[in-house]
Amino acid sequence: MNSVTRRQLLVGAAGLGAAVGVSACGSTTGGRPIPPPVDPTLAEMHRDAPSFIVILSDDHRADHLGLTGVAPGLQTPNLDRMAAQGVRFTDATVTTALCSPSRASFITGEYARRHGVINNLSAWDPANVTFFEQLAAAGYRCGYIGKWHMPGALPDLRGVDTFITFTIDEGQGVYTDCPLVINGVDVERPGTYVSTDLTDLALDWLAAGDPAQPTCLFLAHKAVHHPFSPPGDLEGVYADEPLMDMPDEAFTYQPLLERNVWEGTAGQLSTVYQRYCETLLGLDREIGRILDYVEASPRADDTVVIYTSDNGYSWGEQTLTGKRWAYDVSADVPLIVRWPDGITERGAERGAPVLNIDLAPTLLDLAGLDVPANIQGTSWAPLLRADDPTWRPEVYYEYFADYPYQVPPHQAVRTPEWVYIEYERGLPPELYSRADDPDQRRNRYGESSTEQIVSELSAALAQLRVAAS
Amino acid sequence: MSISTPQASPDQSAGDSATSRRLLYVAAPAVISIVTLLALTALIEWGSGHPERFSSVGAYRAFMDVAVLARFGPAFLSAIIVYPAMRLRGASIGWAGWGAASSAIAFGLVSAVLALRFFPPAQALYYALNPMVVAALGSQVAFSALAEVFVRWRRHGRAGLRSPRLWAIVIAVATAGFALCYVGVIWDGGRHWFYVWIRGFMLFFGNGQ
Repeated sequence: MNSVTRRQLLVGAAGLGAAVGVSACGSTTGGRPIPPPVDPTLAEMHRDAPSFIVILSDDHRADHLGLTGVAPGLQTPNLDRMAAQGVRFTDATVTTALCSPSRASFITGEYARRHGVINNLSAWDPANVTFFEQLAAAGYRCGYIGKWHMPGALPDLRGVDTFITFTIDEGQGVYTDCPLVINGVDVERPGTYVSTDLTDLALDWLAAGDPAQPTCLFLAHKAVHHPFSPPGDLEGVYADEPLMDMPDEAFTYQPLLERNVWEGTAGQLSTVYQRYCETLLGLDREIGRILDYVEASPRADDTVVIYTSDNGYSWGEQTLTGKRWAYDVSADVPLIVRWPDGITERGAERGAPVLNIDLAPTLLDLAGLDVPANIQGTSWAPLLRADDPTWRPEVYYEYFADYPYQVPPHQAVRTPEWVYIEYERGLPPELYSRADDPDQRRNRYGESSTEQIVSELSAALAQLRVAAS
Repeated sequence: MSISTPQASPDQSAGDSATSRRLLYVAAPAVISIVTLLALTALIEWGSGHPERFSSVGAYRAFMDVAVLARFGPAFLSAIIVYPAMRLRGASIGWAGWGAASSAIAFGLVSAVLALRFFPPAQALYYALNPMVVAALGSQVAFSALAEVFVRWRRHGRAGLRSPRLWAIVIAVATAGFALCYVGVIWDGGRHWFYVWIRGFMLFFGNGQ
């Protein structure tokens, strides 16, 4: 929409005042779990299906794992442990590097333009179907615990027996004393740190189940989103540790640039980044508690634990602090899978380009269920056993304007070798070599040597754009 | 101010010229503040992300840090100088107030113009109401009120400060201004006003598409 009518202006002006009150109070509606009717035959058939624990973090960039050595002092012993026990995908990407769209894509298996949560201002459509519904109908006990963060009233979530989330700060949550909505009821949580609190609730939920029944827990953390508040005992632990060197174009007060300031990272870049790493260390500790529980449980070998994030994060690359862009640091996410029964080559890495929309079909595939036609992702379950030369050669990325963040709407095609981006306004196309230029600093678009590849990628992007619709 | 025409007499032209010079003299502090803001904005746009344009990465970083921080001077703090300078050059309270606020307003307009690269015109215009601009306006208004105390003291000594009405107005305006600044950028990093601003955006523009 490019213009405002007089009526809209009046409505907006009147509503602006009301918005003050609304944002100060907040109100909770919905947020209740809706267990679906279970098909007894189907449930009996899937009694031996694997259990799932999906741990989704926030803003954790793909290379920030202890095992990569990108930030020498950074430790993520439990994520490293998961990777050593399972498979790590080294080219996992989200289709939109932004909280709400990416979260919706994870649980629906659809691109943002399909599920409708195209930015952080777009409400969840209750008609959207999530993988919980199909798993629950097949006898799975499903739970959603943690960050929902989609605008509008909380939905009543079909397919889960427990829905725990938060609405404070527009659904972003807060690190300490974060009030929760537990199955539709507002509950204060004084004296808690949110990563620990959510993990406690997750462990309680796991322990309350019937060990013979397959389960699917979706545990979505606030960490490591800004304001990057580590637990008290980890504050400052990286003060003297060598972390990632800031790129040349980064500078101390870069977070105060207008393109970055709304990301909530105001302050000195190195200080904010250090807190990010400390918050990640705190999250890793909580993941360790989940792993410890799983390893001691009767279904230890038959529980698939998946760790990933909703998007990556730029820490100074191209003077950016945040996400949203199609660049690797922003769009790439960690993806680690632990599953003793299903993974024979432990510690393996897979370079196939996989997406957040692949999670839903993967879970359904691993559960032995049919993947519905609406799902646009592809199961990466076969990649847990071996690389697949027929796997998709490229992936599609899309970003819709998200006010007030100064990122033009754009689409991109990403191959293992290239990232090609077309902006809808404000910027010319960009082409980067992913192998030679991992931080995407040298735009090769316009060079005579890349004309052919631009032509090919532009055509591929046009096709992918249509296919995603 | 009248506009000179070819038929104007020499006396009229001289009068207009004197008036223009007088206006410029009074408004100069505000103009200098706005020009400084624009220059710093242009330098930041030019340098950001281009360490190769500097002699070293260190020089680039030092330049960018200074420029980014310095830009907050004219945007948030220039009233400390602009307001009393304009008043002592003969401006009324109202004109000096506008002069002091002009840098914050320019800050908002520049932000809106730059936002045109990313958003349609109406959305870019709404961008001028962002929490940083609101905070800058609040800061300039608050410092203007405090600066009026300085102006009264400079002109009339202690006698100029004995009016309870003066203090009531100064305290009220400064409190309101600093409160705007606090809500805009300090209280929880400004996120409360940010959410109000975004809810306002959604009322006008929906999800922005």
